[in-house]
Amino acid sequence: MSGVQAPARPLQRTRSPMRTVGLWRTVGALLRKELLVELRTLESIPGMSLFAVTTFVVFHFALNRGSVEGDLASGILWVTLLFAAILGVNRLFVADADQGGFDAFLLAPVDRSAMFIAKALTLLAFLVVLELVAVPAFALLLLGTPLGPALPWLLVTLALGDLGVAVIGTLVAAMAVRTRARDLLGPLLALPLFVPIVIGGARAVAPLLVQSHVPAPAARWLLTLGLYDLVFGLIAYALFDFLLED
Amino acid sequence: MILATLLAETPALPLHTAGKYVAGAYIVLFALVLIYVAIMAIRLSRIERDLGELLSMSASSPASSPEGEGEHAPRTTTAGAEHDEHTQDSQDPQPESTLA
Amino acid sequence: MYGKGLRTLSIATAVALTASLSLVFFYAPLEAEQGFLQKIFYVHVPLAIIALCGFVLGGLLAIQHLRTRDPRWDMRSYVVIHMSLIFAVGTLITGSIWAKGSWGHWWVWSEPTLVSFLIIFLLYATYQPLRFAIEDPERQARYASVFAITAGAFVPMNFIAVRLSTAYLHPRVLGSTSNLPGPMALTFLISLLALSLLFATLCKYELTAKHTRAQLRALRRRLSGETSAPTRPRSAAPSLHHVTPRARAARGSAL
Repeated sequence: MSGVQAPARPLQRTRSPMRTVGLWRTVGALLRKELLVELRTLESIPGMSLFAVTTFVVFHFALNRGSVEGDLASGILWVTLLFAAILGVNRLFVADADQGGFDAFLLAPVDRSAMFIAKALTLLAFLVVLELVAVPAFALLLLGTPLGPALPWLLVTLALGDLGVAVIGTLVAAMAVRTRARDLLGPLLALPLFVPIVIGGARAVAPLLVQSHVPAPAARWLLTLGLYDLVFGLIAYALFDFLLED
Repeated sequence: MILATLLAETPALPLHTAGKYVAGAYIVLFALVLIYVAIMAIRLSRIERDLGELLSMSASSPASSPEGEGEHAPRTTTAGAEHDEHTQDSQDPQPESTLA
Repeated sequence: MYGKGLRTLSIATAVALTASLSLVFFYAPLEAEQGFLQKIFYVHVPLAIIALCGFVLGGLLAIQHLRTRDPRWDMRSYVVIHMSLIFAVGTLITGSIWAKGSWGHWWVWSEPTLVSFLIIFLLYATYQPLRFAIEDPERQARYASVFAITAGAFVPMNFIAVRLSTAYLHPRVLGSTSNLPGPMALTFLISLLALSLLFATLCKYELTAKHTRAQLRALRRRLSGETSAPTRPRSAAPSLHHVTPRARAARGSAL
């Protein structure tokens, strides 16, 4: 052919050679990594569970009671779960901060929000396992009323509370981990933020743990928990990226 | 006069007890503002001292900066440094001249 | 220029405060139940409202900081949160005094405002230690902004939760602020206005002072011939990158 011909298609814009990996694939990969690490090292879950059971024993001696019910039982359960959760929160990002996990993640061509979702789901998983140990232990050691009838609504309330602890715990953990007093700041930041969870959770569970007929918890507490989860889930999701840049 | 008649009908706490609490509350507000004024006064004296030093510095070494001395707000700086009142201030030598 | 308008603001604050105090003690009628003790209402409730709005405002300013990365927004957020914390302490103390006068106890759990403020105080008391624990100024500002936004969103959430939890206990000790009779409502509004002006004046005062010190530092560095940024000791206060708008434009074109 004579002459110079225009190319058959216009030149394509140069794109980066790698496509960004999808969000959920990243979350899946991160989650798998977290759970594998936990299974191999067993850093958080045994500690949290042991702490919960030991705390129940301490409560027995502190309150000088063989069994508790109602408000007292609900309060003891929630406080213990919360403090055990804080142990998990403290450890959540420590490996990433100390061994360059943040940098590796930032270099990868992935959606950054994936780290928040993955870490929050990890913490949620830890909390579920914690409760699998702590709630039967509580029923065995301290609870004066039968657990069976209370169990369905108790699990619902715990699930809502766990969601809230997971999102706020992840955000606070990321904030605290790269400061100088990370073990101290984490709980200090987290505990006031957890107060609405305690309010909603303890008030909801208290009527379940009494001898008389077990009703469902009042809807307002479940709504409070749900609203908290929604609001802070969105906020933590939006703000998490700002903590990662460096 | 109106106040006297109003106060005469006060139920609940007798005035001399209630009055103390009300006074206490308003004194708290007043004290907070005054503490703030005191903190600002300390800062102001520190600023005055710094300015005096800078004045003497600029008078004694006119060639120290490329653009010569300037008492106006600096035009270009890289980063501003900022001291909280809680941090240690650098131990400066005695100020030589004070502004009249 | 942070100091512009400071004089006008201060005068307005002084006038408003005088007016408000006069109204409280010479105009507002005595309340039927609590008598003279109720006058604390005119200082306690405005302090509470302004502190809460201040905390939320600190969150909004922090959003601006994260959006524009201009450290001056972080400075404003820091000052507003600091001042709101002081107003919150004032709320707690005046509320406690009121509780002692009404019920004989220095603390009552049945007053949701006091309880909410205790929780909020405990939360914002960690703001300064958080800042102090991060040395890099840019990261400090960023993390502080994330905290300010989270905490700012927490304030209303906390209020709802605490109010729900105390609603079914005792009736409100310190009385509600709704259906105030005319003269009381006027006095309350003037007090609210006066304390808001006080808040604004003190914040502006603080910002001007910080800015002045930053200018002094920069001047000192210029005069002593340094060109590199000095090493600051660790501080919880935000650093002002002191660049005037003209200079920033010049720098932008030069770089």
